[in-house]
Amino acid sequence: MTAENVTGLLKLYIWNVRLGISRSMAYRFDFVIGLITSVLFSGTAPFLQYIFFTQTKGYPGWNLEQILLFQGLLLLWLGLRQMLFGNVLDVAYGLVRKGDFDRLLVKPYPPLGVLLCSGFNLKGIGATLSGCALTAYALYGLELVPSVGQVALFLFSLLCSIFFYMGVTTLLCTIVIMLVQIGRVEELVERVLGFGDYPINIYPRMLKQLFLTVFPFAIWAYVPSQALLDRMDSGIVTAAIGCFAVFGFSVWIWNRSLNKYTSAGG
Amino acid sequence: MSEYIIDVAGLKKAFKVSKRDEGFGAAVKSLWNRKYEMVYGVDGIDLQVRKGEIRGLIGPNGAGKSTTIKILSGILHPEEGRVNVMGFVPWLERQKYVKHLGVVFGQKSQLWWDLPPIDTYSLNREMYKVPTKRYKELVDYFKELLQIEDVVYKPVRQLSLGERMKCEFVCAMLHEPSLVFLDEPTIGLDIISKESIRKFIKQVNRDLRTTFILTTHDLSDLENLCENVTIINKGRVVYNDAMSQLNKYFSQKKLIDIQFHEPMGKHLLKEYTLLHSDELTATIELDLTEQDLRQFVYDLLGRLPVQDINIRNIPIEDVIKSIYSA
Repeated sequence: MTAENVTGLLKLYIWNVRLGISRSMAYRFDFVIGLITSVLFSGTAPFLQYIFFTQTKGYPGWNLEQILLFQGLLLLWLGLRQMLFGNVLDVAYGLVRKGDFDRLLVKPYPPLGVLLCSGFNLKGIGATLSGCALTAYALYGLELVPSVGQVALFLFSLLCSIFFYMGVTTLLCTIVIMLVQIGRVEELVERVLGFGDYPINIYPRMLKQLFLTVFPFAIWAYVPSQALLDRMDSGIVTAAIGCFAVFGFSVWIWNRSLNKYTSAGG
Repeated sequence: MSEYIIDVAGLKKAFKVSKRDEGFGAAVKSLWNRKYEMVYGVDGIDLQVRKGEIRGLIGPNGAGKSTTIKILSGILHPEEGRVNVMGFVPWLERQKYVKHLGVVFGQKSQLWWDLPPIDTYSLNREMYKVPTKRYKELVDYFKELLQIEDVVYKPVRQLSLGERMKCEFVCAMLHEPSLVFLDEPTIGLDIISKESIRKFIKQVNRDLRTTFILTTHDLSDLENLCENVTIINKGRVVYNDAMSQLNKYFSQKKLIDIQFHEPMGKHLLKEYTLLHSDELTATIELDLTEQDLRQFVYDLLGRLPVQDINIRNIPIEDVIKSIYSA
């Protein structure tokens, strides 16, 4: 993929975001109610975690303020990933079911890029805003003022997270396009991704290593919270390599599958 | 540079198709033991299209039209054959090639359903990097040509099928493609909308020298738009010539419609090749290589109580049906 392609796709993504928001606003009532419920419901998960944490022994190595920071970052990531790529699988399903996938192949960009660019979903806004608020609150409670280096590490882990999630989504889209029906694979993947919703130091050593390398779920909330808490170790390096490796592998699989694509009759 | 915008020789594409016997047992068995066979969707197609042509590409369902179009669009890779479209090998240089290609699917939409078409046009402008000034000129030109000045500002979901199809055309034409594939563009449209779409295609073909490849089952599209037609059947080209030549395909045969002024018994018509008959009307097919037309009509008028008579060529539908079933 050329630099021109990347710039073009980023512009295309922004256009898709604009049109996505315009489309949401075409139904005003649904738009306003959607925003309100999104913000309200996004607080449920951190609240449950709060109860769980305060009514049990909590997580070893984490106090309440620190776990709030973790929850804030997790919420921020979950919101961002839904906003950035929340629609990708639905679009892929739609294209395949209606026999429209060919349309992606007559666009002057890599088809995977066009597919990922169509992923914007405004429903993630609530979780993103709540995540920002909770993170800010936790930082205030911890009396932490992140240094430039910590912010850079946080942004880098966010970038790695995006690539990792694009990789996971690409693999799922490949399955959708080749097999049309993926049944409960998506559910299974969602469950597995759920491992990243907890600090990885609560898992056995082998799983912890796994989540910092081959399946780098730690990059979503654990690594950035460690960075902001100034407890970073070499885990970020292996996790980052894992994220880019997963993305690279998924693109390789995608391209191989695309070469075998036979379209539908018609 | 070649005089042809599309130059195809010996094109072949095979598909692996799974087969299984009837019944539940066979379905279970197919879980671990599935049989496949290779089927040629396209089996040695040669095709040349000149720049600025409107070429009809027709054939029965499953003939290989769509596969041919998909290979020409860069969507599918063929097993064998040479393809040159505008100097590109479509599946090898897909990304560069499709910048010069437009596609309209009659049964599929590329417009955003909840937004006005003008918003999708803006997205396409960005996608194909059309300069803003040129984009505005083209939108104005197309709006006027298709009389959709107000339509492009209404949400797509509120448009009629005819209005939507017109907007689809604009979407496919905004980057001024040299070649446009039209897949059943008039399907489901009323006669006024069909006429408007056809006028648009002719005008754009004249003004912008755009080449159109039209696949359709509506023969009036072919008669109105295409000078040349290619008929594909069973993965092969079975006819590739001017539309006017199709009319001459059965020039040695005539159809004679007769209206009688009193009820006729069928036994009186048994020596003729009857295509249709009832008490007061009949249609007879006449082979001119066996009988002289003038003599035939003279005899007919003398023998039967003819009130009215009409002599016509074999309809183009029948010609094509005959080619399809050959």
